[in-house]
Amino acid sequence: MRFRRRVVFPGLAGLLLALIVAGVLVGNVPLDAGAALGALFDAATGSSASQGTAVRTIVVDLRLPRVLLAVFVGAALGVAGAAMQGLLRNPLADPYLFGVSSGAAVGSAAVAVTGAFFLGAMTGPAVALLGAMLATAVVYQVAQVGGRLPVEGVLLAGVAVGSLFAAVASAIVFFDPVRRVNVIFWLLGSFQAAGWTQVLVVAPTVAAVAVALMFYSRALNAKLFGDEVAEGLGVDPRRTTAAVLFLVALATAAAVAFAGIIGFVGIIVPHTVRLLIGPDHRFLLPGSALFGGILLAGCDLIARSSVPDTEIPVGILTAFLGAPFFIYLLRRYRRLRTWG
Amino acid sequence: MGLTVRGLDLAYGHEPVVRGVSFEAAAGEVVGVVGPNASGKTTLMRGLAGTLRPRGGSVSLDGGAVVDLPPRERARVVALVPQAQPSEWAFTVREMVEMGRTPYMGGVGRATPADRRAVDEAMERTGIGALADLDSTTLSSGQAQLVVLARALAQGPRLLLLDEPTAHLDVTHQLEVMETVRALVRERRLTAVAVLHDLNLAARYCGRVLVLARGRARGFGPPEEVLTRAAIQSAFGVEVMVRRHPTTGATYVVPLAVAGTAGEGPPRGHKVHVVCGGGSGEELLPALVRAGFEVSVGVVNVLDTDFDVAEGLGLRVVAEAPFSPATEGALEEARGLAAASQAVVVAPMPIGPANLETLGAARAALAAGRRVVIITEPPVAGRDHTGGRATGALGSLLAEGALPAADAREAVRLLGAGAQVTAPAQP
Repeated sequence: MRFRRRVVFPGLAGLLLALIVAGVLVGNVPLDAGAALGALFDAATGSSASQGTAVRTIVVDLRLPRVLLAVFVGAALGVAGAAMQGLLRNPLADPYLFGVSSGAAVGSAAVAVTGAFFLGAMTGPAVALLGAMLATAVVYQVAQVGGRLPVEGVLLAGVAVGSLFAAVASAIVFFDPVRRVNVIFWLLGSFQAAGWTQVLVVAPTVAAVAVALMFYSRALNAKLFGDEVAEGLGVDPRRTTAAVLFLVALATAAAVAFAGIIGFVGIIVPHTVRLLIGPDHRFLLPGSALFGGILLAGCDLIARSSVPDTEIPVGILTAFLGAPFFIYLLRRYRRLRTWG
Repeated sequence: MGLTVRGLDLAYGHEPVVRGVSFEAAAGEVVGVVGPNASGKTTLMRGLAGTLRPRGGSVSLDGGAVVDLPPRERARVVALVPQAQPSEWAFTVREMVEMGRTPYMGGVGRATPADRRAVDEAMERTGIGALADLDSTTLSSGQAQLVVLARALAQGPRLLLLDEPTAHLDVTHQLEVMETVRALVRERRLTAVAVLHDLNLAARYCGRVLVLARGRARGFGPPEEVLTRAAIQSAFGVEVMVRRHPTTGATYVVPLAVAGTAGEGPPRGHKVHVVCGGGSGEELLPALVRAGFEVSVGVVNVLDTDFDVAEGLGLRVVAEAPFSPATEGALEEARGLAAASQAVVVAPMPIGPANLETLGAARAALAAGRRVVIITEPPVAGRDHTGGRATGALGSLLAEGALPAADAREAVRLLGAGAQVTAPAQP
């Protein structure tokens, strides 16, 4: 595993960088690669050589924030899924299936429709966080049996509560007389609305969540062996559960507030990374952040370049990948009762 | 110093599970906890670990209450050794043992030299040093148990709590795990409490044993004092034979049958008297007890194997001094028991002048119209040391209506089948 980590981490980082560059170069308007990279370089070095050119506007003000938003949202959903699966010892746990995303969606829908940006750019994520925490609490209460969360119970409660919250969010958006939000793009997820403001809110939030979760990586490792073992190793199960679920809600809220509900990232990413580098959360969490970024940067690239003059909601692509993956996990988990 | 438990009450919600349990464990001692399922063993362990707050009473380790420590500090003092589950996670053995340092390392910090030393030592001490780089999912259950033990040691605890550490292990690994635990506990002056489902492991490896039933202590003390036939029957509801092992010297327990559920056996109080000696009853006596008969034995000599077996089963025994011929008083008593029984079984014992007269019990029973079964294998010719008198005596018993049986099983069957019917005449 140590050897594999030495190969996988630089590999993932390289792939992510390549996708960011590709995301800047590819788009509706064909750009000269040299000019585009030059504009990127100028922006990075603070040079004003290409200032005011169309190339620089497209690259720096449109494509780069969009790619970065996709990367950070992917990272958020990737770590959130990894942390949730470890915490609940449930291979099918994920912010989307747990209903957290839908809860966040209610919050951000309310903000988008009322236009009450009382906290500026932070309003959407902040109210989304309240919705996410509410959904988490409801699912937890519904699914728990004597303090334990059975795998199937979480799944059913998550689907039920998630559907309810999604319906509330859809209703809020649908009955908005001004139609400020594109319902389809919003319910299926998209990076259309990306700009530097969004990136500057999401990036630090996701980074903070990822760092904070790292401090629970040993506790999450211990929890893989059951609450009893974890408790014996000095892990406070209730505090860990509360803290990790809060961090998951925060990451999800940041993602949903600006990109809508993008499903299955939290399922696809951690399982793939686990297969590559093993279950140790000290590596699984950063690995899932990297791979989550790769997945959504890649999906967004396809979403906006595969059909001319239009774009596919990115959530459609992740669902196409994630649903079969989910079915595979469900069957595998039933047969082996293992998910390493 | 060590662990002192006084009047411990533990409960989940309003459901009391452990009531008024008191015992202690010294440094360097392994105390065993035995008891039937749902007797509160696991709950007791949670109480000792400080993860379940006592409803009443106290648990103190070296004079301090573990339950008052914050979780991380508690995990440096008390380590749990649960029953090893097959690992689902591709951690290496070394990484697994390193988890024992969780209470010292915090969330992300790297292992310090002290952490590494503790891990190395724990692996070496449990004999898994060579497995360090193996994937823990590929281990045998015995190895997995040693890994869990090493993880606990890496915690550097003063109290080791083992919950069925030998369940699902083969005999070799059971002994290996228990030997390792006992040696470690002595060497490092740890205090250990082990829930064991196997009474014999408890008797062999524990200085003292706590018998738990329905949440209450039914006895606490050295195994030979606590693991008695009566105590086990009352706690577990099983008939057992308790003996002392000839080579290890440890008390050992042989379960025979669930008390009061002899199945299709005879009605309660159905008495059988057995004439045996020289070890010929070793198989027969437990078989009869298992089948539910109330068994008496005699005459046998003290120091005879059959005497030990009968004593171990708690049977009524008519005994004679070692290596002496049966006296008239003993013979009379045996005849009385035989006559008061529904049947008599004659075991395939070697017969010499000293015990020839013990057959009188069978004769008396036959005369009283009782069923008599004679086990005829191995043939009497080979064990007749009376110049033919024994062969003649058995022959005439058979002629008068005693039933021949090839072995102990057939004898039990003959007693069970027509237990209530009078013996048919033998052609």
